[in-house]
Amino acid sequence: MRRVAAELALAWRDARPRWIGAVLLLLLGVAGLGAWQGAARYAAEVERITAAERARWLGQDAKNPHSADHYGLWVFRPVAPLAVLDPGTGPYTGRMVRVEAHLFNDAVYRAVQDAGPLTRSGFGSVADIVGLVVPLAAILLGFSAFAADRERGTLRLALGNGARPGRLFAGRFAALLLALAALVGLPLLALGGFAAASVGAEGWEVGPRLAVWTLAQLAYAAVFLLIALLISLSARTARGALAAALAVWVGLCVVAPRLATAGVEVVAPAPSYREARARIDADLRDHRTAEASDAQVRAALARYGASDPDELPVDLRGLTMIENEHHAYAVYDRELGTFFAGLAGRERAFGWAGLLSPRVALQALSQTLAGTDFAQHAHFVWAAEAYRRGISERMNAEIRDNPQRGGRQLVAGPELWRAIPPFTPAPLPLARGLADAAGPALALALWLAALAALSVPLVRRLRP
Amino acid sequence: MAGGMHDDTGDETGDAPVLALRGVAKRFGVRVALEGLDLTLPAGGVYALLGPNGAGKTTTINLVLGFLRADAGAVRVCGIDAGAEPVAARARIAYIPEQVALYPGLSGLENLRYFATLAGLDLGRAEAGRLLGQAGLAEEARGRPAGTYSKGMRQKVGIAVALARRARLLLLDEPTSGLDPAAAAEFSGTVRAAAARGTAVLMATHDLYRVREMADRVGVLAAGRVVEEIDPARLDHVALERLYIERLAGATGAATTGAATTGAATTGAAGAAA
Repeated sequence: MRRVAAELALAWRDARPRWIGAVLLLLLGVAGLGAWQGAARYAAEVERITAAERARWLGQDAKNPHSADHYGLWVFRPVAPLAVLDPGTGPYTGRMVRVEAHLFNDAVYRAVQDAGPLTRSGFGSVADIVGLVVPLAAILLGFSAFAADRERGTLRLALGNGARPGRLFAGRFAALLLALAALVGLPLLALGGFAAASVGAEGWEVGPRLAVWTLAQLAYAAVFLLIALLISLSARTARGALAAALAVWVGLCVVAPRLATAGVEVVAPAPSYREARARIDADLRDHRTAEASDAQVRAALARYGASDPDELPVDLRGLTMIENEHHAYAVYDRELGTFFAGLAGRERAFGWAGLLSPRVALQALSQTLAGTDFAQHAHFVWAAEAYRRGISERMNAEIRDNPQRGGRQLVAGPELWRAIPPFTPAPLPLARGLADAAGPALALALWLAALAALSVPLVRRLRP
Repeated sequence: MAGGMHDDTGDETGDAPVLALRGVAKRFGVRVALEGLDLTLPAGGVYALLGPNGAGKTTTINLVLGFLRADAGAVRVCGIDAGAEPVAARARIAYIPEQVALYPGLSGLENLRYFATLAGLDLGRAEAGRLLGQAGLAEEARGRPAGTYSKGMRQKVGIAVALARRARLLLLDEPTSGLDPAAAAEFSGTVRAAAARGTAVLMATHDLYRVREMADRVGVLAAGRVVEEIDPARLDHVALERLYIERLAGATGAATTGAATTGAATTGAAGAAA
C-alpha cells in the first residue's frame, strides 16, 4: 500500500490526470445529462400516455367484446434507468406496440428517428465515450510510466537501488488504475445514481446493476492501461510508447470492431424478418379458408354432440375465435420465435467476437448489464404479445360463455374493460443479464489475463 | 559522517566475496567491451576502475547490476549470479550513476523518500533529512523541486538514496562528477566510513585525486582488460597520473597488436581507514 500511495502521490504531481479528469468529466457530464434529459422526458411521456390510454380503454363505449379487442390500445417499453449510461439497442428498436385482436404487431417508433446530430455522429452516449475516449485516457496516463523514466534516467536509479521490477510494475499499475477508477468510475456512478433516482428504477435492481456495469467499464479501462504499461515497459522513449499505444488503440477500438461485426454477419447472419412475416401470412391465410371454417364448425358440433349451433351450451363464434387465435399464437411462436432466437444468436456471436477486440466485448457486456440489450427488447415485445393474448382470451371467453341466440349481439361494458389489468411489464432480472453476459465477460477477462501473462516476461526483462 | 551501508539481507553462500567477477567477457556486435575480466572484492574493500571513455567501466557496472548479461564468465554478488538473478543481486547493491536523474516535480526530500519506498524502505522525513544532510545537500534546498537542482545537487540526492539502502555493495559511476570540492571531500569520507563498516565499494572514475583518497586498490582498465593494478597508497597523485597515462598508452598499443596483459585484482584492505 505504501508503494501504491507513493505512486499515486507521484502521479498527482503530474498535471495529466487533472486534465484528463477534467476532459472526461466534461464529456461524460454532457453526454450523461443529455441522455438523462431525454430519458426523463420519455419516462414522463410514457406515464402520461399510458394513463391516457388506460382512461381511453376504460372509457370506451359499451360494445361487443370482439370490437373492444379490435379497439386495442398502445403499450410502451419501460425506461431502463441505465439507458442514460448505455442506450444499447434502445434507440434502434421500437418503443411502443399496438395491441389488438389477431395481430402480433411490430414495436414502432425508434428513438433514433428524431435523434439529434450528436447521436447521429455515433458519439452521443456515455457508453460511446467509455468505449472510445476512456482507452485514450488510460493510454495517456500509462504510456510514460516506464518509458519516460527510462528516458529521464530515473529508472536506472530506481532499479540500481533495489526497486523490484515486479513490485514497481504492480505499484504503478495499481496507482494508475485507482486514478482511472476515480476519474471514470465516480462520474459513472454519480450519473447512474442520478438517473436511477430521477427516472424511476422499479424492478431494475439498479444498485447492483450499476455496480457491475461500472465494474465492467473499469475492467475495460484496465485492459488499455495494461496495454499502455506493457508498451512503456519496452519502449525506448515516451514518444515511441505513445505512438505505439495509439496505433494499438486504432486497431482495437476502430478497426477490429468493424471486422468483428462483419465476421459475425458471416458466421451468424441475421434471419430475414420479411420472410418470417410472409410465412406467417401464408399460414394464417391457409387456416382461414371457408373449408377450414366449415371443418371447424363440424368438429365443434361433434364435440358437444349437437347438430345446430343454437343447441350448443357455448357461443360458436366465441369458440372458433378462440381456436383461431390459438392457431395464430402457435404460428407466431414458431415463426417469430425462430426469428428472435436467430437475432439472439447473432448477439451471442457478437459477444464472443469480443475476443478480437475488448471494445466489442464491452459493448455486448455493457448493454446487457445496463438492461438495454436485445434480450430486454425481445422480452418487452413478448410481454406486449402476452398482454395482447390475455385481452383476446378474456374478450373471446366472454363471447364464448354468453351464447347469443337469434342474431342478438352481446354488448359488454366498463366491468369487462376493468377486468383487463394495466400493462406493467417487469424487466428481465439482473441474474438473467449476468448469465447472458458470460460470453463477453469471459472475453474481457481473457484480455486481462493475456495481458497480465504478457507482463511477466516484459517485467522480468525490465532494464533502464 | 554517520550512516553506514550494511546488508539487511542474508548472504547466500556464507563467506563468499561481496563481488566476484571471473573471466567476464562482453561484446557489443564486433566491438569487445570486456575480455576476461577478473575481480574480487571482499567486504570493506574499495576498488577503483580507472580508464578512458569506452574502456569498459560502465559495462562492468551494468554487468554487476544485471542490466547486461556477460557473454562469458560469471558475475557474483554475495554469491548470487547477477546475470541469472539480477533482482536478488541488486537487493544487495546501492548504486549512484554518473548522471543522477530525479523527478523534477518532487523535492529532493520527496525524491529520496520515493526511491526509498521503491526499494522497500519506510524512510521518515527526519531520517530522509538526516541522510540528505549527510550527503551534503543544504537544508534550504531539500524542499525545492529537483527540477531546479544543479548536477551536483542531484548527485547529492543520489548519494542519499544509496546511503539509505545500507547495502553490502556500493557501485559508483563517476561519483564525484559535478560535486564541488568540499562535497567531493565529504563524499570521500562517506565512502571510507561505509567501507569501514564493511561495505564493499566498486567505483568507476577518472578522478585520480579522489581515487587516492578513497580506494585501496586501483585497476587500470583498457580495451576491456585490467592492464595494471596499483596500490594507491604507495604513489602520490602525480605519480599515479603518470602511471595511468603510461599504462593506457601501453594498453592501446598492446591492444592493437593483441598482446595486452590480463589483470587479476584482489583487494585485501577490508576496514581501511577513512
